[in-house]
Amino acid sequence: MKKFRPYWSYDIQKTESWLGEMAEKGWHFTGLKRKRRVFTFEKGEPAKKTYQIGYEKIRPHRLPKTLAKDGWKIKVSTGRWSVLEHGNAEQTPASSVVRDPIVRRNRIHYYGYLAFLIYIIFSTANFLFLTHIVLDAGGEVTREPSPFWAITYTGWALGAAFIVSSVYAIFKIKKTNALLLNNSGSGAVSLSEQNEKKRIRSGDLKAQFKFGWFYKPDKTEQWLENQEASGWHLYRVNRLGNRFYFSKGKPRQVSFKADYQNLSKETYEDMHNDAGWEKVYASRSAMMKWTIWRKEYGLAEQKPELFSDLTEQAGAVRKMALTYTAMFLPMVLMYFFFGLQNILWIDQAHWTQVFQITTFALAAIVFSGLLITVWRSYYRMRRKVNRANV
Amino acid sequence: MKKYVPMTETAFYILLALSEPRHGYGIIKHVENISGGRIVLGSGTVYGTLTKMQKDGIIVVFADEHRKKVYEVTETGRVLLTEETKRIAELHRNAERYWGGETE
Repeated sequence: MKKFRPYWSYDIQKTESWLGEMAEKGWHFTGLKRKRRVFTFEKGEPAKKTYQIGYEKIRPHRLPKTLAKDGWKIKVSTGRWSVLEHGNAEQTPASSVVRDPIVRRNRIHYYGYLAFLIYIIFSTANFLFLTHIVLDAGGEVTREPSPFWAITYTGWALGAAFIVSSVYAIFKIKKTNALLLNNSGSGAVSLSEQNEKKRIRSGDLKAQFKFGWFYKPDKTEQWLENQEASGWHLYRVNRLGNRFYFSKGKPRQVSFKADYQNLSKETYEDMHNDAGWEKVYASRSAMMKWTIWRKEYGLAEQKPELFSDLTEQAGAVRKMALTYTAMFLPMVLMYFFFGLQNILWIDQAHWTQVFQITTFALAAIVFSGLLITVWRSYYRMRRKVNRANV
Repeated sequence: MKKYVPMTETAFYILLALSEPRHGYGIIKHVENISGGRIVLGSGTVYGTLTKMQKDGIIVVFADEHRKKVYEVTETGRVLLTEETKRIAELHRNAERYWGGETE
C-alpha cells in the first residue's frame, strides 16, 4: 500500500506516531519515496512498533552501537533521511535519535518560505501602488485580448497555491520545532526588572547603552570583564541587546565570551551550561545569533575559555565578518552609486536633491564604518593568534 | 582521514575519551582527569571538534533517556586511534633510545 503524506518532514513526531499506528493495524512501513512524499507499507501481522526519523548530512547512515544494542535498526535510509524501527514497543528504548539536525534543516526551510512571502508581498504591493498612481493620474487600465493571458492566470493560481502552502509550512515548522526543542525557551538571565529605576537612582545599579557591540566582540568581552573586575556585575541586558545593566557588588573575576552563529545551535548551549557557562544574553532571531556567555573563576584559577584554541576563535570572528560583509557591502555600493548618480544629474541645486545626496552619503559612510569595525576585530584577533603561536 | 594523521592533542584526547560513549561535558571532565588537570578543553572547542569528527564518520551521535547528546566512536575511529597510538609509541621508543632523558 502507498500513502501520500505531504509536509511529513515538517511534522516529524506525528509522522513517527502515524507509522506506529499503521504497524498496529498490520501495515508495516517498508519504504519512502522522498521526492513524491510517498510512504509504502506491507501487509502483515499487527504489531507494536516504534519509529524514529533521523536526518544526517553524513552518508551512509551508521547506527550507533548503543542504539543497535537497544534494539533499534535502520529500516529505511534515503538521502539524508533515515527511519529507525524498534520492534518491541512494550519496552520503549531509552536511547533515541538526535533531533537538532531536523530542527536546523526545517529552520532553513522556514526562512526560505518567509523570504518568499516577503518578496511576494512587496512585489504585489509595488504593482498595486503603481496601478494606483496611474489611475489617480487619470490613466486607464485596459486588458489587451491575448491567448497568453492563460499563462498569467496559471501563474497567479500557482503563486496563490504557493503562498497558501508557504503559510501552512511556516506554521507547521514553528510548532514542530518548538516541540522538538521541548520548548527550552531563550533562557537568558531573567531577573526581576522591578525597582530598577529606584535602584539606578540610589546608585547600586547602573545602565549603559552600548550600540554595535557585536561588531567588535573582543573589545566587548574586555569591557564586560573590566566592569566585573571593578565591582559592577552584569545584571541583565535588555531585549534589543543595546542596554547593559550592572549591579554594584564585590570585584570578581569573570570570563566573558560573545559568540556568533549563522544559525543557532541548541545542543551547543547544553554543553556550555554543563561546563559552567551561564547565558547572559541571546539575540532573539535564530539566524545571525549572538550569545553572551560568562563564567566566574577564582583568583588562583586560569581564565576559562570557551575555545581552548585561539585559532578557532579567530575563525568564528572571520565567519561573522564575512556574513556582515555579504550583508553590508551591497548596501554600501548601492548608496554610493545612487549618491553619485544624483551628483551627476544635478542641474540646479534643489534642496531635495541635496538632502538625498547627503542621506545616501551618510548611509554609505555608516555601513562602510561598520564593515571596517568588523574587519578590524578580525585582524586584531589574528594578531593575537600570531603572537600566541610564536 | 589525512588530516587526523598526525592528530592534534585535542583531537587525540577527545577520541580517546570516547573509549566509551560520553556526553560533551563528560569528555571535558575525563580529559581533565586523565591528563592530570593539564588539559582543560573549552566547550566550544569540544563541540567544534566533535562536529568535524562526526562529518568525517569517526564518531556517531545519539540521544540518551534525558535527550542529551551522547557521542560514540565508530569502527573507522577505532582504527584511526590505533594507528595514532602506534605512531606515538614509535615517537616514545625513539625518544628513549636516542635521547635517553635529561634526568642523569
